Amino acid sequence: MTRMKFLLDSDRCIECNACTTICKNEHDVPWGINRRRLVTLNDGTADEQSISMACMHCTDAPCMAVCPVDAIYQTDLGIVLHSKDVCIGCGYCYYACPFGAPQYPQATTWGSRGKMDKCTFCAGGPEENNSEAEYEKYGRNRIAEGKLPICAEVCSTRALLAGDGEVVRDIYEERVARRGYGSGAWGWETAYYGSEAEE
Amino acid sequence: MIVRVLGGLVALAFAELLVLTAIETFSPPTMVVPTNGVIAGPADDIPADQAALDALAARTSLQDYRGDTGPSPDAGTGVLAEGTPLSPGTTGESGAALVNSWLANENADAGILREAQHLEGHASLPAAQYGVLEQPEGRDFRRTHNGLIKDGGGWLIFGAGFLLAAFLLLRGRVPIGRSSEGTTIERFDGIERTNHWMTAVSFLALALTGLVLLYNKNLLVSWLGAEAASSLTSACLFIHLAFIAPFLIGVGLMAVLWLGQNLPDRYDWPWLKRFGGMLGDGEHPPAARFNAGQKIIFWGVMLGALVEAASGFTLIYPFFWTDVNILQWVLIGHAGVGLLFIAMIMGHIYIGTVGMVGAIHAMWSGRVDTAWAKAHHSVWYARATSPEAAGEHPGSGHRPDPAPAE
Amino acid sequence: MTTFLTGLALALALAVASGFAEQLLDESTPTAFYTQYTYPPSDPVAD
Repeated sequence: MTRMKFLLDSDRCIECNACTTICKNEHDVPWGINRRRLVTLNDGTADEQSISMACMHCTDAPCMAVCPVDAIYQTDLGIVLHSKDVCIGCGYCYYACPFGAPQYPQATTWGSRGKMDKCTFCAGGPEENNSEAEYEKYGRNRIAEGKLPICAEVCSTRALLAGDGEVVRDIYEERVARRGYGSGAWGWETAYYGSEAEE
Repeated sequence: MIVRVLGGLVALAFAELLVLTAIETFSPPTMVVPTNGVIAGPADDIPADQAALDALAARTSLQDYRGDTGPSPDAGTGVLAEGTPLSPGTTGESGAALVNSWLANENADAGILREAQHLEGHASLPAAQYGVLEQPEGRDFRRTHNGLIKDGGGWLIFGAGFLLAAFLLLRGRVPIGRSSEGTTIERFDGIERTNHWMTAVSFLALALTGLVLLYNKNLLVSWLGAEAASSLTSACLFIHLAFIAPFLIGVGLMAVLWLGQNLPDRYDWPWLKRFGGMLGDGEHPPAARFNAGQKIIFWGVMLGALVEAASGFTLIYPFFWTDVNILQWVLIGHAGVGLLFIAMIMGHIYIGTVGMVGAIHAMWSGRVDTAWAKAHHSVWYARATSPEAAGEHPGSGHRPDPAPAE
Repeated sequence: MTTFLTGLALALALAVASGFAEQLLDESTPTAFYTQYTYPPSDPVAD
């Protein structure tokens, strides 16, 4: 079954930040929110690796499970989306997300966080595909156009792969075999196989 | 002779070259121009027509700030049919079957999987939280929140209700144990009672809105629909925060008014050993103004309010002093202690209303039957009616007046 | 009865006042949740 996934080949990532920048630009992301970010491990040492992280669109996503108003849903492609009309900005999804994907645009006196925003796998939201309303709330819907997330399509070294999980896996395995090394698929264990049939 | 002529000819040639050099030196530089092909070779590229120029100019604008230009011009009609899911149905059984098919890929993916780890690094962003790459504890939080806390809430609330109702059934109401004398004595003054009710109303508001936040997903969304449930929950969140002030002011006043009288005294242990005399119909153990059971409630309220306030304020200002992993515990603690608090207050409400005959008057009108006072708080009654008590603070009770009991 | 109603009224009054205070205290420019930034950034978190 076609299931969308992200895979970051940290042996290719050069921390150019093209992915983070184009995401912000393409979706007119609210100020202060960084849907995609680059995390550098062991900065400044020989083991330095950079990993581009947005939302992993988990199987049995914990954010969906804890949302008190069921604002977050998953499509049959595995893409996790949410409704900004239903969201109450409580923040539970942030606590549950292993990857820090949900973010909030406000920090008011009483902690009213505003509407949650996060990576949509360039698949918009519950509004009509490619409509003005969808763009204003969630950004561009490339999936509906038959295209893949723009962060992966723009990646200068093809470090960030996105699309059918099985195809992505095969691409990465072939690379690892050819060059002889690979750091593995960051986050896949937690995102796709961390379920343990939770509620 | 010929040599000299040749020398002259060569000189003439060089002079000619010098003139050319001078002309070259002092004439303006020439430009290179597009040729659409290799210079001095055949022309290769077709010159761009206006349509192509326009298309490229338009494409350039894609690099502009999206907030001004909107989505790319090629964001047009989709390839996916409107409103049609790729596979039939994702709810219920079909949804679970789909998820199971995803999970079945674990073996195929095994070669590239890393173990689930807590990983932190550095993101060049102005907040330390962004540096957390992965925290698998998020799934643990989800399991605890949806399991222990939500199920625990059911056990606590329904269990407390069950036990209290069973107690009422099996034991009945706790009687006064002696007949009324027709007189009353003031037990709590106006300030104490007003403050108690302000706190009680606030607690009820906090508890009910808190329960909506916790259980909306399980109980209300299917009844109300997503939008209405969202509006209700959003309102409950706001109301929950609004009642923080009266609740904490009330609890603070309770501490000022009653803390000294809720310290352990020598009547507490005997009172506890006999379960306050609530099980039998004989004489109740003596007690001062507050018996041991009430002291447990008092300190439970003090401690509960402190924990809830501290955790609550942390949740309002989440990154003020801590990170996501501590915040997970804070939220679990806030919900868990809240549920325990609710169960405890259910017991308090029971005993103060249905559970004990004559008790409600203490907090409603403030005056209790003297028979009730002698039966349940004999030490307090004795102190309050002693000659030395005349003119003391109402907390110790007034002299009984001959007015008939209400 | 009187004290109950007074207590109830006090609780509601304080709650309503708190609600108004929250609205008034909110900065007109929403700040970014994570960084407590105001625009333009004035106090970057040192790393």
